[in-house]
Amino acid sequence: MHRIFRNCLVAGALALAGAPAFAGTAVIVSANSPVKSLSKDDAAALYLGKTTSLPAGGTAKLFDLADSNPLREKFYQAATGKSASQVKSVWSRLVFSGRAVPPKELDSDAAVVKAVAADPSAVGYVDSSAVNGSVRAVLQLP
Amino acid sequence: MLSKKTLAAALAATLAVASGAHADDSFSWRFSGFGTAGYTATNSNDVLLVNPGQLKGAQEGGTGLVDTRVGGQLDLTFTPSLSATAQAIAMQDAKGRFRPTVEWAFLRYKLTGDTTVRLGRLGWPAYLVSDYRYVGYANPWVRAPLEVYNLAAMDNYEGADISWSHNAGAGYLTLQALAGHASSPLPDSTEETARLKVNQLAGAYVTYEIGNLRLRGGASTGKVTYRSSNLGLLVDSLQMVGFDQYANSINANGARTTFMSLGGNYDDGKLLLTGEYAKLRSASDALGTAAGWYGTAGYRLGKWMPYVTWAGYTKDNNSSNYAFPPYPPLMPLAQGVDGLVDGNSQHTASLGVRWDVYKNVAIKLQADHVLPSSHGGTFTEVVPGYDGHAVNVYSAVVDFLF
Repeated sequence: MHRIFRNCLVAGALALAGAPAFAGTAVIVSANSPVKSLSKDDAAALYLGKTTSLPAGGTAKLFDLADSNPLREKFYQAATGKSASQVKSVWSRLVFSGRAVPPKELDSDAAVVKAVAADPSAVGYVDSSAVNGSVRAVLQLP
Repeated sequence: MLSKKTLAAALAATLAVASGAHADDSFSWRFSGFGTAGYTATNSNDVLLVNPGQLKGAQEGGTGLVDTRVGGQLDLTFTPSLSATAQAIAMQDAKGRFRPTVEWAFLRYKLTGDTTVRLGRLGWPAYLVSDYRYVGYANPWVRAPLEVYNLAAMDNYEGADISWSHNAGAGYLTLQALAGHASSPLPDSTEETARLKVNQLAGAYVTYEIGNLRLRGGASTGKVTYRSSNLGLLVDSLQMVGFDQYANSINANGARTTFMSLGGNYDDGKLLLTGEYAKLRSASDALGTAAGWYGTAGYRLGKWMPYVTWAGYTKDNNSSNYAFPPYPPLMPLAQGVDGLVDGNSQHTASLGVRWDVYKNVAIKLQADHVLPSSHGGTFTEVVPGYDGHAVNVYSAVVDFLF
């Protein structure tokens, strides 16, 4: 009993300590969104402009982090396997063919969380540590 | 005809709607731009290298006039379903000048989640990369292979299109249908500017994207009128000496013309493969029947991507349909007709490298070994007596986005 309790404490402590250390990228939607989960392919299709539709139906409103934010490169590499310049090429094709407008860029994780929380059709990505009760993490990326 | 006035009125109305919608937080606007600074030289003064529709080009001396360009685009989003886009590009044109032209200006309305209609001046989506062929940064090569992209020198049309996108299997299917008319200036060897007009333009295109693969194909058809001082003179002369039938089969006056294309690209982040085939078929022998194709392979090594391209172009020979009696005064006329309806061809092997030097800047170097026919292939200003010898083209460009 004692031992189990102690193991639980250790596990809990590890989990707490581990969270920031292993922090990955979380793809988030509003807590009010009908979307319960997204696959990596879904996220890649949205952020490469292949579709604007959410798997649960409806049109997604995407948020991106600014070019200068290192999480951006990390997210695109993890979700799409493409480098920042390749992703720029993909979006320049969509933008300059007049077929799509790229995701709106925001400065910080906090700004993305706030914008996503406010809109049930929104999708964003932030550092996992920035996720709070107003949004739901629907995909965890390393 | 959607005149400049109508276009201006539509834009003004759009802007009025825009300012009205300002209070609504769904309104947003975005300006983006692209450009290329390029330099090209060849090893021959017998022919002139140009991009389709350009008057001036590159020879031994080298020039920046072929690939240098700058473009800007304004996207206005009024509501989640209504938006407008206008794009202008300045590049050397049919008169040899750098004057910005409105490449496209249209309103887009989302009818349903899957269906979008657009109205205004639209890009003619005839080719795999026609929507972004002038955005150097978005393309692997220095310039889209001329064997294919010189077949139909028309960038935009005035009209409407409707497109429908949906999940299909593990991929995305897009169907697009368009209708409208077009008019674009072309260079002429005289001071005049020739003009290509297309009436009753209609087309349909299918795109399928699955994983790293994108396939696209379709066709457009229209009634083409081509006017240039040379062609006009030839047709008039033929009629004057009683060869009315020849005049009719050469003249492009509402000649039914179809253009079909099929292409694809595969990009897994390391390996890039892309290729395209296109065919032009016209009731007018001045335009004739011609086909082009290319294949490109590239491999990314960090920020560097070496690539190779192999391309071909052939125009059918229709000269057997034109027989003139061996009467000396008819010789110039016979030669003029022959020059227009004779076959033509070109093959090119290209080697290049792209270097992503900065997040929105790429530098490319490319060498092309071009084997045209004695008619000069896709080159212009072919000197009399040119024997079809190989021409090397060397290009260096800096592509950027802003």
